[in-house]
Amino acid sequence: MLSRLATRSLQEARPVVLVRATSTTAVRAAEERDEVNFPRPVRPVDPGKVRLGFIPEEWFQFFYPKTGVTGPYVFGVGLTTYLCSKEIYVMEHEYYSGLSLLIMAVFAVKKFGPSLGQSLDKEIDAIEHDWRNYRDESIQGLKDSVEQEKAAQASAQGESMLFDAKRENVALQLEAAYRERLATVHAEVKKKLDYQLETANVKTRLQQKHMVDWIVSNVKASITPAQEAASLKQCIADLKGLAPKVA
Amino acid sequence: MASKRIAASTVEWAAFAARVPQSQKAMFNAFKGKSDGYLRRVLTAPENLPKIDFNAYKARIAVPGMVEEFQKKYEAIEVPYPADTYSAQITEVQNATTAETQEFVKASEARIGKIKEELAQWENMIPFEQMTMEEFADQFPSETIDLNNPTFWPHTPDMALDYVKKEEE
Repeated sequence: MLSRLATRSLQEARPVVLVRATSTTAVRAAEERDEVNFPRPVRPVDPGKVRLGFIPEEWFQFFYPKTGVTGPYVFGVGLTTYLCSKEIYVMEHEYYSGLSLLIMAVFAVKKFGPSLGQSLDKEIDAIEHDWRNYRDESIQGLKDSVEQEKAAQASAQGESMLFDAKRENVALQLEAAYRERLATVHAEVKKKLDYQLETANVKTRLQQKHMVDWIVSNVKASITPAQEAASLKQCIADLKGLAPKVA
Repeated sequence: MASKRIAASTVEWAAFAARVPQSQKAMFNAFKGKSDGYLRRVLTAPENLPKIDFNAYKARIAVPGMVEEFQKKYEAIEVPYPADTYSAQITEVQNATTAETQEFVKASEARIGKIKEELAQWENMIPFEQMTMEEFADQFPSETIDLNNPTFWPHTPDMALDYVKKEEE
């Protein structure tokens, strides 16, 4: 009963509010559950907290308001002692084989547990990832199709530009035809003028040629033999005059 | 002379190209090539009647009064602008197409509304990892057994009792 004394002193030291729980079944019930909004409970991924490897934390919490922190341990040890000493729990050969099985099980859990857990977690994660992907892709696909619809609308309405361009093409072709007409007029007029010019040029050239021929023939006809001899003599005299200079 | 003369393209081809669907790009390129060809044809010829240097001809052509007459007639000449007979047709086609487009846009808006409804359903859904089987059945009725209208193995539409083959219709 020393333990009870110890817990009493502990209880006195701690604030009463903490120890006096409203209920003995669910510890921190009000903390765990929002009783105003009643939110949707979320499924826990990891198992709850345990002590000594297998005893749930809640069982300890259950003892605390009545017995203090050592109570559950005392209860456990006391119950075991009672069961054993009254031979309610008989330690026959199955008990010892159970012990060895327990050791093997603990060894197996410690040795292979983490890697097995990891590989299983990976599979679970893959499944979860698939489902999440399904949702995300569906949402993305719907958003994309909205975008596509909007783009299709935009390009459908862009046809006014096409008709503007068509009208402009017609105008451009008319303009081109008009300009070609202008160019044709210009070319035709210029051609005719050039013909006239060329005709005039040919006429002038022929007239000049005839004039030159006529003058030359008249001059040739007017030269007498005496004049020719005199000019020859003059030429020879000129050559003689030039000769000494060269020598 | 026509009241409006056109000398340069006013179409915003970049903005136009951005609105052309991918499947019609080839057609668009052909159209743009043709338009550019028309513009080039316009730009190769001078805009107004080119001047002729009559004085040079006058100095060298002796025929009296001919060049003067040429000049007088050349300066007085009026080249008719070709008549536009196609714009009306284009407007007609445009009106028809605009009506079609409006119909398409209306249908498209309806489709968008439907898609948005579906989108909202997906977005408001509880995440799959938090779902129970009942909630999944509520969310995806097509994936579950409909007790009011049971189907038979292999649960495909052509194995339903009231299925009628298309040829027999």
